This record gives sequence, C-alpha cells and structure tokens, in this order.
Amino acid sequence: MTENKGRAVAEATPDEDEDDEDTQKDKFLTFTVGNEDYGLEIYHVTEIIGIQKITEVPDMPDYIKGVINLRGKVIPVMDVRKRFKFEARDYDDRTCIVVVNINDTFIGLVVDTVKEVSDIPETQIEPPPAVSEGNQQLFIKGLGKVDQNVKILLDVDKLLHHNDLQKVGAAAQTAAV
Amino acid sequence: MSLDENAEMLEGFIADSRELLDEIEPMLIELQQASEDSGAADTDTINSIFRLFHSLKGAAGFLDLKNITRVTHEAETLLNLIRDNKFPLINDHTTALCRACDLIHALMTNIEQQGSDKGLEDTVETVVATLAQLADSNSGAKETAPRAPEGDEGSGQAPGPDQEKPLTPELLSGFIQESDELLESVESALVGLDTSDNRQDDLDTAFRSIHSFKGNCGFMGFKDPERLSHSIETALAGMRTGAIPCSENNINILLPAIDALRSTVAELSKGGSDTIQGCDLILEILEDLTGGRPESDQPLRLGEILVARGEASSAAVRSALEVQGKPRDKILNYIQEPAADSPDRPETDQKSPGTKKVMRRDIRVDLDKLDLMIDLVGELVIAQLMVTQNPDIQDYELENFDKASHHLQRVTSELQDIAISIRMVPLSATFRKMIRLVHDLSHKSGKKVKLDLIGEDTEVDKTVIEQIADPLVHLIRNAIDHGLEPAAKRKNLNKTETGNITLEAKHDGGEVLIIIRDDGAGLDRNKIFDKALKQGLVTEKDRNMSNEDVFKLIFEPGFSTAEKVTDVSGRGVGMDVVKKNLEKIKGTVDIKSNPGESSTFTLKIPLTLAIVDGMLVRVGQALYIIPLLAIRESFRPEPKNITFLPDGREVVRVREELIPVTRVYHLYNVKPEHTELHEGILVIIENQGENLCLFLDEVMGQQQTVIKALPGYMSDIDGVSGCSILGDGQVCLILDVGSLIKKSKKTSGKITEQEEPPGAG
Repeated sequence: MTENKGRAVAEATPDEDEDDEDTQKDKFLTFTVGNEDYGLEIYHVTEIIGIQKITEVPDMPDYIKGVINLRGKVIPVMDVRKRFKFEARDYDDRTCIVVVNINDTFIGLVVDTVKEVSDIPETQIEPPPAVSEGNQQLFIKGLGKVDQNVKILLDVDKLLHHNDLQKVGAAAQTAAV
Repeated sequence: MSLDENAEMLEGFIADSRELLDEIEPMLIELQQASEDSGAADTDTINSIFRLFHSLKGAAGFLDLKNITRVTHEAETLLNLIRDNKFPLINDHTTALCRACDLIHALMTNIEQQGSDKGLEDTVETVVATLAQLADSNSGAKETAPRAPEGDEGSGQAPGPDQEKPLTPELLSGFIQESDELLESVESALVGLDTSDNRQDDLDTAFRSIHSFKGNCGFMGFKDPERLSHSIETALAGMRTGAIPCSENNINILLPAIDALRSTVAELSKGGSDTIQGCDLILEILEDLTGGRPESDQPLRLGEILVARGEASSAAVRSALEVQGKPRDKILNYIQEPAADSPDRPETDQKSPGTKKVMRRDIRVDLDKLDLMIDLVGELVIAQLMVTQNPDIQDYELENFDKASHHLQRVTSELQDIAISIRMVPLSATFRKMIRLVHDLSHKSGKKVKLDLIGEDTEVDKTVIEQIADPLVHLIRNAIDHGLEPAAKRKNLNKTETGNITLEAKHDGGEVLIIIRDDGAGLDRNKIFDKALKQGLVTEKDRNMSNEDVFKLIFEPGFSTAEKVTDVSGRGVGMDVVKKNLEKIKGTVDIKSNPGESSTFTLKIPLTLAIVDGMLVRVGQALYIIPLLAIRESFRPEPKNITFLPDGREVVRVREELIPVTRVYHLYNVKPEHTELHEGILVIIENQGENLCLFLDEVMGQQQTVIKALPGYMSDIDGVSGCSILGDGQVCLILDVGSLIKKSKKTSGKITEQEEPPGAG
C-alpha cells in the first residue's frame, strides 16, 4: 500500500468542472483511524498535509483540536479519533491532515495514516448495517469492498454537521451573554 | 429581450436610479432652504434636479416602467415651471417632490421583487395628481420675484450656453465620462451589427445610448452634438423598425458621425468648444439616409444628390469622394482640420492617427476584484513577515539580507496603507441622507430643526459606512423626538426657536469620531434611572451610580423613557440598534449631557478593521495578541499587593487602584508556566473606563499583524475577536478586551482544587 502525502492526490484530480463529476466519481481516498480503514469521496478532498502545530481554540467540542495556518488561510482541524470517541493517540510522522471542502467550508481531518486512492464502483458498496452501536453509524455512507478489504465510507457532511456542532454555536452565544 | 438580459437591465436601472434619487433628495431640501432664505431659487440646483429626474424618466421609459415614467414626468413638469421662474419653490413643492421620490423608491422595490413597477397605483395617482395640481395652480400666477428672464427655450430643455451660469467642472466631467461610455456603446453596437446574433438588441442598445447622449448634450447646451446625435438617433430608429436597412454602407455612414461626436467630447474635455466642423455636411448625409431612398444594391450616390440639388459643385463632390475613399479614421482628421479662416480654433493634435483620447481620472472597479486585491495585500504582509522573521535565519547576522528585508518591509507597509485607503469612502453620502431625514422629522414633530454637517469629507472604511447609517438615523430621531423642545418651550427658555443638531466627523489618532450634538433638553438622569428601576434593570441601591453609567442604561434593549410610542420613536429599539451596529465595527459610544442645554453622543470607531497593533503574550505554549490600544501597563506584582476576596476573586493593588485579576490559563484551559501571580506578569487592560488584569507567563513583544476572522465554523468565541498568523507561520488568537472584562464581572474567578492560594500578605 502506498502512502500519499502532499499534492499527489490533488494533482490527480482534473480541473474541468464538468469532468469532475465523471472522473472523480467512484474514487475514494482511504485512510486508517485506529484499526479500521475508512474512505472519503475524493470530490471533497483538496489536499493532504503532514501534521503541524495546531493552535487551540477555547469553547470548542473536544474533537475540534483548533486551527492551523494553511498557506495563509486559517482553517479548523478535527481529530477524527476523538470524533469517533476512540482513545487519543500521540501524533507521529505518519499522522496526516486531510483537508476537505464542503460548501465552501474548509476543515482539516487528523487521521492516523493515509493510504491511497481507491476505485470503488457503486456495485461494490453495501449500505451501512441497520443497527449499529457507537457514533460511527451516523457518519457511514456505506461499506466498500476493495479486494479482500472492507473500507468504511464516510459521509463528510455528517462528520461536520452533527447536532453537536449546532450546539457549539449556541453554546458560544450563551456564554457570551 | 431575453429574460436574463431584461433582469440585468432592470438591476442596472435600479442601482443607477437609487444613486440618482440619493442625489435628488438633499438637493431638494437645500433648494428649499435657499429659497426660503434668499427668496431666490438656485438655478444650478434646479437644473441638476431637473436633469436627474429627466434621466430617471428616460431610463424608465425605455424599460417600459409606466408608473415611474408618469411620476417623473409630472415632477419634471413642475420643476420646469419653477425653473422658468414662474413661482418660487415652497414647502409644498418640496414635500410633494420628496413624496414622489419615496414612491419611486417603493416602485423600485416592486421591480426588484416582481420585475415590473406595477402596484401602488393609488399612490401613483395621488402623487401625480398632487404634482399636476401644484403645477397648474401656479403656472397661471404672475411672476413673483423679478429675475433675469431666460431666453425662450421653447421645449423647456436645458439652458443654452449663452446663459450667465457657467458650466461647473463637475457637470462637465460627469458629462464627459457618461458620453464616453454612451458613444462607446453605440459604436460597438454598430460595429458588431454585422456579425451580431441579436441585431434588434444591439440596435436598441445603440438607440438608447445615443438618445441619452442627445439628452445630455441638450442639457449642457451643446447645440451641434445635440443636432448630430438627433440625426443619428433618427437613423437608428429607422433601422430598428426596418425602414432603413442595416447595410454595411449605412453603418459606415453612421460610424464617422459617432467619431465626430467623440472628438467633440474630447475637445470639450480639454475646455474647447462644442462646434463640430463639417457638422452640416454630416447632417445632410444622415438626412438622406433617413429621408429614405430605399437602399439599392449600389451605394448611395450622395454626391449626385448634392450636385443635383445644386448644393455642391462637382469639384467639391470629387474631392469629397477622395476623402471618402480614405479609411474611416483618416476622414475624421480631415473633418477636424482647422479651416484657414478660424484662427481661434484650438490646436488639434493632427498627428494622432485615430480619434483623440479623453483624459479619464477615475475608473470603475468590480468590487469583488477590489476585495480580492485587498485580501492578497493582507496575505502579502503575512508572507513578508514569514520571510523576514523566519526562525531559520534569526540567529544569523546577515547584513545584506537585513537591508533587503527592511526594504521589503517598507514597500509592503506602503502597499498596505494604500490598499486600506482604497476601501475608504467619505461619509458625505451618508451624512447627506440625514438632511432629508431631518426635514421629514421636523415636519412630523412640528419642531423647527436645523442640521449642520461638519467634516463630511472624512473617510471611513466601507464596512463602517454600511453599519453606521442606521445608528445615525436612530440617534437623530431621538434627538428630535426626545432632545429638542417644541418651539414655544424653547422661546420660554431663551433659546433660539429653531433647534440645532450638529453632525460632525473627524479623525483622532487611530479612530474616527462621529459626534451628534443637539441643543435640546439633555438627558434626564433621574428619569432614566427611574425607568430602568421600573424595568428591573437596576435596583434602588444603584441610585448613586455615575452619570455615565446611568446614560449607558438607555442602550438596554426595550428601554425607553417615552411616555407614548410615536411612529418615530419610543419603542426602545433604536439605541439597541446603535449598540449592536457599533459592536459590529468595534466601535464605542460616549454620552455627555448638560441638562437643559445639550446632549452629545460621540461614536468612536477604529480606523482600520484589518490590522491590529498588538502585544504578543504567552501563556504556557499558547500565544495570544492583545490590541495595544487596550493595554495600560504591565508589571510583575508583589505578593503583598495581592488580595483574595471571599468570593474567590483576586484583586491587585496598583498605586491607588484595586483591579481584579483574570487567570488566562484558567479561562482558556491552557497549561501555564506559572501559577503564582507574583511569578508571572500582569497586564492591565482597559475598555470603556473599566480595567482588568490578565495573568500571563510572558510578554513577548509588539506585533503588527493582519486580523483574520476565525473560520465561520467556529466564529463567536467568547473573549476572542479573531486570529492572526505570526511570522513563523503559527496561528495565534486575538483577545477581545471588551468581552473579557464583561466576562470577568459576571463570573467569579474560581481557584481550582489543585492550586493553593499563596499566603496573602
């Protein structure tokens, strides 16, 4: 399994908007968090960078680690382990931040390692199990089969906009009063 | 016309018209005041207002906006009569015209929402009737004040150039600018006609533009251009209906005419005359075009016509044909060559191959591009810091590099200053809106009010302008409604019958001050306190609070001392808006009052919103920036000056003051280096007269940085007003002094179990 750091992934995606849909469809960026492999639609991923110093920001849920400076842009960073309520782990030199863009909101996701871009056609994707424990269930779009492995495909939107997050804004407001 | 283009045109129309209306209103009121004062109507102003209404009517007419056309037409008629000095401008007129403006505003909202100006028919009828009646009832009146009789202009169009009133430079440059655009539009429409997909549209555009140009010429009194553009207009009208074919030949007849107009405009911009050489010739040509010999396959034999008419000799025709054979732009030169017998014709630049260039002093810029540019300048400042303050080179002595980096810093700094100044806009437009407001309110309330504007040229950032208009409106409303006494009462108090409101703007240090002063009754401290007491905002034992504090109570939402609610004020909403808007632009308000004499509201707004001069401080591993303006001093306290209060809070004695302390590491959950107050640093911050000590580990130094908003995902964090990128690329938070102080007052500083209070001395 090759690892991808840097712009390789971003460069793989063509520029044309019209083509985006077709050539980026079915492509998923896979990464590990804990013991499992996860996947994100490549469409949302803008880049992958190595872990860097994160400035903490107060009054945020514990999975929002803070903000980083991305070439002059300040973007928030979410620790995916914390989000899934896994135990925290020290960052090492394989830890990466996957920068995604949804509806013009940029956010960095801290993951243990980044694997590769996999082609997972729809036929290979199973819907998520109906009953599931733990928080992961809310974020799962489906389960993708690649060779002998199963990748848990995440819904980025849900990752960002879980109920908690709405409360964040509200909490900040009430604290200000 | 396609739906999109129609919508786009309407949008453009709305934007333009709103600008026009904004200009009209203060002028109307000034006009009336001048009229009352001196008994004379200022012809300049009337002409300007007339022209504005006329432009409005023209534009509305083309877009088939019947209601607006009717209203503006009536307004125009009325103004025309006034201008011809049939009667002076009185209050009724101004009110009616202002109401017409309001109606047009409302109709434009209709256009925005539904794409047409239908609706509000009743109001339209009323306004139209009022204006017509005012016009009628006075047109028969005898001349009141004797005035220099104007030449009979017949159609009542603009004054001719022979009138004493000179053309002001502003008028002229506005004309030049507009003409440039209009003629450009006609030309490109004509040129593209051949290959155009939508000929009708292009013809319409060309027609519209030349018509506007003609109107402008008429106003400015430029006879030749007016006549010429009229001919061109007629030709284009013919082409629109198909009576005249859009052949290349015909276009080639029109284009030189446009060029002639262009040159004339260029002449005018240099202060020359509006005569067009060879104008008659061109007019003839155009007349024949429109006179309508149907186009045959051969080009129009103009020369033959002229010779046949006996108006030109064959020789002349022959030489004319020679000229015609030349490329279009050379013909122009020919026409422009000064005749031997007109020595006073200004020197023309005969070497230029094409039409003359007009000097332009300004340019229209897409706002988005501008914002992008300013963002990039901000980024540049950060990037420059990242280079010059790079940790990699901190330890080296690099003389040449240092010189170069200083130079870079200087240049970047200058660029930054200019970028910020680009966004600066004078307050005059906002201030002038208040003129109308005062006029209306003074009527509604029956009080006579005079508004003085000082320093309207003061420039502020664009975002400030957007936020400051509403607060000003509310403050002025309050001044008139609550502050100023009725005329009778003022007389009894030996005050002038007319109340005075002064609106002043000036720069002071790093801030802009906007001061609203009225010479009314002042704020009644006790009344305010009692009302606040009733509303539960204070308790009886607060009765001795300072005047300033009492006055600040009026900003509480829902607060009002008005006994009854008028539609002007009294609901307790206005001051809340003032406070909220000010907060958005990081401004503050100060209230001073002399009971019975005056009230003064001073709005203080920081000059630039994007850059902060700050002090970089450290708590544990975290870095923060505190705005320099807020820092009073910093020091290391001695244990004996620290006192622990029973509620858990700590205060520090600084000379004669006792100031509360906030432990920042506790607030932001950071692991600090020091937990003992006397081992760290205390920084005293101040906001609106209140002080607070922040307990930090280290003060690192001054830092000027660009403020960046926190990502939208996480904005609105208490105590943090934004973030900034440091020289080494790290992000640090900018502390919001005001909310830190507020927070410290509400919660008591808790001391966690881990800490032990140091021995209090």
